[in-house]
Amino acid sequence: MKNSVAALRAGRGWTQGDLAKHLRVSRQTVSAIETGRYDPSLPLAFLIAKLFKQRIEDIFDP
Amino acid sequence: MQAGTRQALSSWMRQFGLAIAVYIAMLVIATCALVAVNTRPIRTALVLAPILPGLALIGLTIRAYIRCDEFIQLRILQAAALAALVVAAFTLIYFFLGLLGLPHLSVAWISNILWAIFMAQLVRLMATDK
Repeated sequence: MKNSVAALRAGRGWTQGDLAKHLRVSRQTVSAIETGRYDPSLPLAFLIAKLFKQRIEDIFDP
Repeated sequence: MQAGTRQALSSWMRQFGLAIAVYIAMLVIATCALVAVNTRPIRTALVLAPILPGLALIGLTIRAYIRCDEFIQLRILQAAALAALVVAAFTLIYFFLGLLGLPHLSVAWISNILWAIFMAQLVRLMATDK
């Protein structure tokens, strides 16, 4: 699934590690989501959307 | 890797190593007991003793799995699935090779192969976290 997590993260000047800390996941998880290798669970997707103050469908494009 | 997840995997590796050491020590004691001890209840207890650290390995792995995040949990499950598939293929092939005369192989070796494949993948997972 395509997503704009990397762009949103860069917009805040965060590293993958910073975002991982905010989401309480591993940096590998953030990397896998950003590159589309892993689609996050619904709770994690909601957490990402809440963190960036966006709707899930605006971040993730199926 | 996030601190909690990395900590869970590192802690698991350390405890796993310790459990393996205890398992090997118990295995040596059990092997010696088979030959040297004749008193039935003591002999039985000593021979069955390696089961405890063996079960501890499984318990530690489950605990580490629970403490990791969802992506790492997926990777752990993939590692377990691959290890199980390799062992399934190996045992199937070896069964027929055994019919052709290859020596009998203890199930303890099958277990060792499974753990080795599983561990190698998790070590690789931790090593690629840069």
